[in-house]
Amino acid sequence: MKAETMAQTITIEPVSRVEGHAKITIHLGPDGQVQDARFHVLEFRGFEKFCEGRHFQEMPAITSRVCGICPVSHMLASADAGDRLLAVEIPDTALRLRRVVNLAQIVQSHALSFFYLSSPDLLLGYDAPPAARNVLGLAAAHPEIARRGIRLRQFGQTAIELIAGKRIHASWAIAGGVNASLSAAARDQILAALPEAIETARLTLDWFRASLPSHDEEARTFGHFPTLFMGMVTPDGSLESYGGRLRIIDAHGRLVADQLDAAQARVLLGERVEPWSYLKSPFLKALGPDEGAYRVGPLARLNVAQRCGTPLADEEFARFRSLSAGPVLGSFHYHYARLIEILFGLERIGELLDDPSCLSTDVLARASRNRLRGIGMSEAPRGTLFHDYTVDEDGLLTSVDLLIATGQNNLAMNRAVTQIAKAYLHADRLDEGLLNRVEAGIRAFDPCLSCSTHAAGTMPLVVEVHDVNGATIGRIDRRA
Amino acid sequence: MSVTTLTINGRLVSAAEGASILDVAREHDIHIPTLCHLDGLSEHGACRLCLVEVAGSSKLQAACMTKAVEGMVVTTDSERLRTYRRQIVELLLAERNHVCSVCVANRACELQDLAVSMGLHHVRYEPQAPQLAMDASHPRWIIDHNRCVLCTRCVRVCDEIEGAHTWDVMGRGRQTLVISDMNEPWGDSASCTSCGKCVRVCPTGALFEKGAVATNKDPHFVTYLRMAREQKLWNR
Amino acid sequence: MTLVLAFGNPLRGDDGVGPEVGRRVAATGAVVEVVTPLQLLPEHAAQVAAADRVIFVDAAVGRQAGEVVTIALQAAPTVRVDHALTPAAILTLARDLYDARPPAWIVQVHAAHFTTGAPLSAAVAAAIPRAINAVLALLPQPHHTPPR
Repeated sequence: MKAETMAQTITIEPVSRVEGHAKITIHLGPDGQVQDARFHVLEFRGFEKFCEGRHFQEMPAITSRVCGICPVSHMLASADAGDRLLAVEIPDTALRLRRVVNLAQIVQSHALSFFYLSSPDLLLGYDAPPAARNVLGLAAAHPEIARRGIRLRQFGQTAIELIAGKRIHASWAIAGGVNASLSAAARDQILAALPEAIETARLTLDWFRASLPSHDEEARTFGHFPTLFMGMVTPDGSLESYGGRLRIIDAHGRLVADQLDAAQARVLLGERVEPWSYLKSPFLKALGPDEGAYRVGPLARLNVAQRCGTPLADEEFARFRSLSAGPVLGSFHYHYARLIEILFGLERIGELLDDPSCLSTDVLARASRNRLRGIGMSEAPRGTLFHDYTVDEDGLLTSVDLLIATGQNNLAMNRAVTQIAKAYLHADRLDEGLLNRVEAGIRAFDPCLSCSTHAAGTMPLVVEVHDVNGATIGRIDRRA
Repeated sequence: MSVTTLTINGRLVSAAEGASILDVAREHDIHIPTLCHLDGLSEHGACRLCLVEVAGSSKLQAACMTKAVEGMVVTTDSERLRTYRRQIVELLLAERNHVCSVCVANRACELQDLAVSMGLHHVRYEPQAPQLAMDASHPRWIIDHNRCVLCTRCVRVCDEIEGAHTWDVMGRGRQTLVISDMNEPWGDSASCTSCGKCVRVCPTGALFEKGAVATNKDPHFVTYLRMAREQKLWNR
Repeated sequence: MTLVLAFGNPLRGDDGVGPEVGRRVAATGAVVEVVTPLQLLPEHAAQVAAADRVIFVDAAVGRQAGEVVTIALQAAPTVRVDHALTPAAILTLARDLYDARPPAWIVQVHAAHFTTGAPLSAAVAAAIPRAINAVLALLPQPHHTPPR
């Protein structure tokens, strides 16, 4: 190969404060400028394979073991797929309770992402030393915010525990409904804790909104590009997290598809497998892997919805949407969207539990298997989660396909890393500032590698710069 | 009625004639672990967990199958017995596919309880990991042979209490399998009355209800059925 | 109340020694609150802040497998944090967030391996009774009430 065509690659691995194990490579062109960047996922657990042969009604309990972070999302997507195999409409109260639990899950996960993982970057700055730029630094500098973050996460976890039993790996939702109704005492306990949680969400939003001008640069460089967006909406186009239909819009806000059920959405999506990652890269088939790249998760959900549908969240939603004439394209605003979803989730939990029907004991529809294929979904904290089951006549699984939120953001995460590297990597200088921004850019998506690749355990990140021959010309290893 | 006197763990105890060592021990609040034994069903002696030492014999005896005899000296708890019992549970866990974390019977499983009571959370033996099928052809229940410990409680309750004798045992050694009728799918069984007794007495998640995320095992209802049938007592 | 925060992942070989010791301490009937999480999280600081004394139990590396070591702990001025928090980090959070400084110790059981899915090593399994005693030794001694 001729010297002038030599390109270089920079690799970052592992991304600290991201669930799972990741490596980032930055590829430099012959001119020493960033050409491309890739987010590699290096672990694989093969959940889909070992579920084959099991009965579909065991799946909510089994798949809630995929991930310690969002067992609830898997349980609910799995139960939804089970409902479809039974071909039943679940009782209203069962749907209501599943929605409450899903929102509580979104609240606790977003609280973890925002307060524990991301707010140190936002409050202390990307150039703060790593020893201070973490939840301890946050606690020292802004104890009130840290205390409130802890309380907010506890609210979500307690609500899940009160409704669904065990806090982690709940196996409460089952095909046809749920296996336990809600007691008045548990409902009252959740409702009593709501005002403080809502106050926390509002105060945090006030602070975040006020700090937005200082994050203008990140908003422009942390993955600001056109893509499609996909998220769940109600029949009238408001924000929904469970038991709704999907909407896909383009970067200008035009409808690409609307009111799709999980099965209809699934056939529109293709998947590309890259040799350098276990994370599959889904895209909208009709438009191909480049034009068809889409984002899911909080930012996407707020872009596809016309409104949240609750009063306080809608006030903030209006401010959020005024950031841009069309959809908000900057991935940095996943953070903003996450905070609005926390507020929405809390308000909606209040509405759902204020209705006396939430205490009905009619929570389970009983039926036999009536279909051979069922595709279910939930809006997980990180985006749309699909569970696609094919069974034999006895209901034993012959094929299982899990399409995970983090996977659906894969193409967008690669683009985000490329954009950040282009903005901050100059003359192959591999410094802390670049590393921190690449990490923060990835973290805006709140990727959960444990579930998207089914990896066990957690691991921090390495960045490598490679030339076009694959030779490593720079490397930072963040493992302690 | 003649009474037998024997010694258990150094204690002089009396027993009704014909009582097993297990019966006598229980009557005197002496705990002996069991798995295949179930009050109200015949004894089978399959699991060997109730092994005890009897003075004068180098062989260990299953307490459920051994009659209490005048002057017998029995030890129900010793380092040797604990070692054997622990090995038995480990071998049961290694024989098929017992994965508590994804099992419907998690926290409601007698095998798991035994393991916990022995402080056992890892198995030293190579798991056999057999590829056994599940039979989900019955409209309400599933049998997962991967979790079966061959205690034959299902076989005995079906035969002795329900009177249907749908279940039986086929094969020998590691090929042993509980089958319905002539090894036909459970859902096609002509003899099964769909009474569900087998599911209730199964000590593990081998027999479980479709759609259940946790089993409601209730083995003691067999005693109730016996009392109701034989003594016309309907007290639960 | 004494809080025993016995953490670790039972699916990772000797890393499971913490929760095992925690459960066995609870089974002794000692007057303690035992929590056995997979890893430490910021919300544990709230529990630490509510306790009179805190005993962490964890696997450790660096010494002969099976060695049990008790170390008094304090909040650290700065602690490197990635995904999982250290006991010192939890104490720092309890101090900074809740102005709580309960006396704290860690009982470490030195590990042989952290192999996924593997049992506790023989050395660590044998160390469990010593680790339990190390935890119990840190509890306040009961006051002797003279017999009436």
